[in-house]
Amino acid sequence: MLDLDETIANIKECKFVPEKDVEELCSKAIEILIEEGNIQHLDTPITMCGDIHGQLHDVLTLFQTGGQCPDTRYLFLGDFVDRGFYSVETFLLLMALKVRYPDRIYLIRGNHETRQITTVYGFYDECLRKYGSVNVWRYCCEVFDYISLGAVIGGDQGVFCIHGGLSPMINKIDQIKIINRKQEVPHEGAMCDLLWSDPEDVAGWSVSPRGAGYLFGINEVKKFNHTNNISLIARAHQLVMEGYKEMFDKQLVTVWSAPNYCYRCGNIASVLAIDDNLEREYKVFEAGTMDITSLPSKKPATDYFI
Amino acid sequence: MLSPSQKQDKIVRSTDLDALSCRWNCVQKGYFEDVNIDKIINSYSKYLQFCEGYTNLSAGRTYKSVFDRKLPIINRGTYLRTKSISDIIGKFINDNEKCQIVSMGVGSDTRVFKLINPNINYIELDFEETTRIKKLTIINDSELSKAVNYSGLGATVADRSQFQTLDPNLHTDNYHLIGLDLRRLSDSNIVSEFLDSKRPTLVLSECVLCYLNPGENEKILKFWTDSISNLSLLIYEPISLNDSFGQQMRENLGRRGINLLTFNHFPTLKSKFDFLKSLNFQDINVTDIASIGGYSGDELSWISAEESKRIDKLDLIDEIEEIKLLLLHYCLVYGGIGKHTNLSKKWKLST
Repeated sequence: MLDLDETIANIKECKFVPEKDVEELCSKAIEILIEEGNIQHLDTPITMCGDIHGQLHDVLTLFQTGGQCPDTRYLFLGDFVDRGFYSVETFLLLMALKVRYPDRIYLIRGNHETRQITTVYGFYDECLRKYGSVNVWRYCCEVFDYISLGAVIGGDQGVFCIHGGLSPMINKIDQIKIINRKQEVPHEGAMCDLLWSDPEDVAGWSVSPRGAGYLFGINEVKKFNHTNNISLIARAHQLVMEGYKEMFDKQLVTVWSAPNYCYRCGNIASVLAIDDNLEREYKVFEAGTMDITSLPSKKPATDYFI
Repeated sequence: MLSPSQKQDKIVRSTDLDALSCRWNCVQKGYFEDVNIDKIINSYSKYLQFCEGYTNLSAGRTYKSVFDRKLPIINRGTYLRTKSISDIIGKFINDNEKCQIVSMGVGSDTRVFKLINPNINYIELDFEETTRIKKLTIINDSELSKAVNYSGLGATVADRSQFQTLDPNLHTDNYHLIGLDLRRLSDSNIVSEFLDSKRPTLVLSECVLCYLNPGENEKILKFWTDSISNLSLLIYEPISLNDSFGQQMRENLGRRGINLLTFNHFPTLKSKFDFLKSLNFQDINVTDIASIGGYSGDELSWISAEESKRIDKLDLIDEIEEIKLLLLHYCLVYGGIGKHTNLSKKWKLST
């Protein structure tokens, strides 16, 4: 039997988690996630976090900034893995916390939580390197398929939370509830858009330069918020140098929680705490001065043109 | 043991392998074609072990890293850099019936084999070890020999001493591969001898001058403005923009021993512009790779809609902000003196 508290402590110290423990953790996580709806209705207060991308050391700083779980309730907006050097540990930590405190931490799916993207952006390679096989990657990908798509916080005039943004196929939040989410993220359609779209100063819907999802403007946001009786769309998905960025008369915010993204971008990060009056408090944090010797011995991929 | 300055030079030379690896990845992905790249890579596999500071083992390890898979963001940036520079070279050749191209710190670049013709005097400069590897690639390959009009013999190099004593230069009627530390460019006649000072000339620096200090930059560029009356100069290199990304980049590369010596001294497009102006260039144009690639939302892209569509299919780009941020820190600088090519490209800053 898995000792969750011990596992959580070990992961925080970046210790190796045996494959059989990963397997057990994944199946337990699935048992919990399978019961959660596509859209979770959550109470305040709660603290929201954007992309973390395998930067385990910064996730630990995040918990210092926003308060430890379970003392603080958390909602993570996806993109747990890829890019950073500790995707395995980062995702295992979130899963272990979820299994240990199911109603103190919630996860929604990001566009990186898919088989296709993780084979390109690092998580697959990392699993293979650390475990010598792709079993751990497979277990984790299975979990990805069960992670819910979004959340609504605080009921009427509350906050709609999603990884990417809106979809031209979704007018009402209820329409999201009938999506069959338990699958690899498709290349098009509502589920894809919710995980891939970006807000932009555009009129109407336009093509996204990412090659998936759409760009949507202020009118789409205001219409969506009005229709669904919410006051704010909180999303992640886009790097913002200041850690967060409010747009469209404060009716949408991007929260970014990976400081010095890819150990390269020099940005700061934030989490967004929503209190019982739906007031917003942004708590910003910087990357810790990570001891360079703690980086994995394998040379990281070329990150510049030299 | 290598001295600190030898170690520094070894690191600068090794940047060529990194650039080679980036181009090889792009070729695999279908961004562009390069039928000769494998020949150069093959040469590195044979001769890197004879280079200063390498053992058989470390050379093998370094060589293997050429085939490491690159992230889409790196492929995209490599493509944009390679294409924009090739575009300018192509236009220059089209505009001038008889011309001259000088590539400083050319490394493993294979453009010459595709571009050279009897109307072009093509000069390639790099450290001696790098030119030896290139020379061996050429003289032992019939197609490359033919391309540069070399009809001499091939050569076998079986050990370090044979490699180190091999003449680093290769001269044919219109191709000159010269082993030379650029810091000695103006002190010697080794280049002047093969230079046609009357011909319209394009001088290239693709991530080369950035490893030399500002004083050396000035000395080298003065050499060209003094030697050539009809000069076009093209520089591609990183700029710091004095921001947190630039600061982090300097630290990260510094940790790998790579010191960018112009990075903070010429931190912006404007400072590059002013530097060329101070050297009396008449026509000066600067832009960054983010604009060239269409990531800046400023209508200054060099990539056609059709081409964009093609390359978008080659890699899945997950993050636009990040690619823009990275590419903003790489600039393309073009300066002209006398009769030079008018590029009819979109620039961020022009005379």
